[in-house]
Amino acid sequence: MSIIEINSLTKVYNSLAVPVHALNGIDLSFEKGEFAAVVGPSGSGKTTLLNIVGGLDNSSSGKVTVDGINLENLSSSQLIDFRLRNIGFVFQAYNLIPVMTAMENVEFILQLQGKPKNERKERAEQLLTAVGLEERMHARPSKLSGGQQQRVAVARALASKPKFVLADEPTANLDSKSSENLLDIMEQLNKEENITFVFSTHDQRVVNKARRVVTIEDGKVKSDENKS
Amino acid sequence: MKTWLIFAWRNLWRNRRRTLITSASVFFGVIFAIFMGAMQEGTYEGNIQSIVQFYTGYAQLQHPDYWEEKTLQHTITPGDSLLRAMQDDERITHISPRLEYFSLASHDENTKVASIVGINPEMEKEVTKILSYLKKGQYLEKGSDGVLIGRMLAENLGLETGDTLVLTGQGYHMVTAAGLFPIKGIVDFPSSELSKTMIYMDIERCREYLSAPEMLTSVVVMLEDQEQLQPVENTWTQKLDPEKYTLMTWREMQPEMVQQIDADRASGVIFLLILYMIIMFGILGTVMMMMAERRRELGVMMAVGMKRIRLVAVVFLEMLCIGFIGVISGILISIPIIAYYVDNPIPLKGKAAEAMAEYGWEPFMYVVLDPQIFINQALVIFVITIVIALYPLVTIYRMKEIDALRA
Ligand SMILES: Nc1ncnc2c1ncn2[C@@H]1O[C@H](COP(=O)(O)OP(=O)(O)OP(=O)(O)O)[C@@H](O)[C@H]1O
Ligand SMILES: [Mg+2]
Repeated sequence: MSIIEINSLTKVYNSLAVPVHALNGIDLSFEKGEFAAVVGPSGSGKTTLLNIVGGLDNSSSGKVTVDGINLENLSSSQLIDFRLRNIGFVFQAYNLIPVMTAMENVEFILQLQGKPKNERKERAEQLLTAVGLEERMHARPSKLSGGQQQRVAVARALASKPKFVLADEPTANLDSKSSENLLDIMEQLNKEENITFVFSTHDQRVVNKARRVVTIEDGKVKSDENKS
Repeated sequence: MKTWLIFAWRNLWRNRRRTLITSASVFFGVIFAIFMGAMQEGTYEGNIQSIVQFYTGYAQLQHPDYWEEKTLQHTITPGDSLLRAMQDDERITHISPRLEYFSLASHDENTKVASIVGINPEMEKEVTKILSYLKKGQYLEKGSDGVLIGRMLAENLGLETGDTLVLTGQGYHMVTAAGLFPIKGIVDFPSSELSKTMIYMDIERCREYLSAPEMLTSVVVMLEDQEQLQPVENTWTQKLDPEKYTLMTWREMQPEMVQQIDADRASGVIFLLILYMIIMFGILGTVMMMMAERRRELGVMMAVGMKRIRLVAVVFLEMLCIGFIGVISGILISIPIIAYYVDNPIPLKGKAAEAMAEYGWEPFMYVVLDPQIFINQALVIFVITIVIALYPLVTIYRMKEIDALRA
């Protein structure tokens, strides 16, 4: 069974005078251990797709199943809990809680899961080391570079041992070197720990790192390319 | 819990100035409310003290019908044992037995209606301030013939100390009462009402004059303060034979005073309500700004799995902190200041002082240090915080992750 199953997914935004058909029938599935990029021109529906898969937004029609659970069947508070236990998120920017240190930002997730103090600390240290931030664990986000902040976000996304990580343009605000560095770390975590990543991007170099590239245009899957 | 507290605390210092300004508004509001409360209650306490020391005492033991109809038919004859039992009550500081009735007072061609009060001079001077009002002559002695007379009554009758006053009237069972009494002293009561009517004499002489042996119209009861009144009333109402006795409190004897205090308190409450409204909108404004600024952050926290109720709790904790910084600093600052003024009542001058003297009140502004006032402040701010917490509660519960993240 695929970890993410998307069937005839559509999304229509009715907030404007003219309804916007952001997604027009998407059929996709992602397997455990994938390292997949979702690409496409601006406005093609990448963010919309990732948000619905992440349970942050609801669809207009179609079905999204995560690990066998139909997201539509979950209430808004059940969804919060579901995300906590199953999905890691990396957003484009301003991911972190500014009054918490890098360490506390990672611990935060474990705290929400009710993990005891020593376990939290150990895991947060381990994750921050994995993303190469062992030296900066006690710095607040404002004292970290954009790339370092995104690495903390990745560490946080992994804290709860999620089934997969969704990252919507995680490198959009980073220079090319930091982008590459972040992708290397993600790739390494994917290879060594078999963590599933689905990320959207505009950056060709980031796309090149992906083992699978899903191209979306006008809310439809235009191509789905497996490079491995 | 500790983590969330630290989290809330750090959030507060993100915008230090705003937090301090909001806390300061609470602080000043609380200080103001505390001072107002302390002065109000102090004034009431002072007024009550004055009025009870002035004449009525905190309570009076009377015949059940005496207050309605002040005649010699409604006297009491408590034995020594009852009086002693009252004196033995620790909460009762002093008692003073009285026999009061009306008579005509004359001198030369002039005649006035006077209020005759038979007292035990030693006991009465502990209960009222009569001794301090004595202007000329001497205070009464036990068993002597002399009387004390109000200054205005003395003037109206053309009397001086050493002159002789003629009293005529009715005694017990309509017996004619008449007697000659030398003026021993002139008492300048601050109240013209009393100054125009009062004549004090030794209780034994009074009983003779009114042919009312052993009788009393009242026993004045003094207490340490107002607090003791209710318990004392409870005890004695149980002990006393309701056919023969009743314990009238100053509240019953001075209903206008009670009304005045109640009305004053009510107007104070309105004032405080307005003050609290201002504080409330101050905090609300801060909370609204805080929520708007942190919209995206709240969205992220919800996206990664923080329950709404927890978010509300953190914001609530922050608000509580803001409120309590204000309340606690306000209380800490006002306690020593109020404590100082408790020992050093603020003297009043000018018209206000004169007006108060007219009523027989000491021209001082009193304050009280009543723990209840402080507790109330903390409670009010707590309640205000809870009410304001509705705003983040509703906002967070209506917030959709997706909209918050886009902010
Ligand atoms: N809240 C909204 N209300 C109305 N229309 C929206 C809303 N969000 C997105 N859209 C529209 O839906 C379409 C898909 O938007 P989406 O953000 O998913 O695109 P995207 O592929 O992520 O673009 P980009 O690469 O610029 O981030 C666009 O036409 C966009 O204008
Ligand atoms: Mg996008």
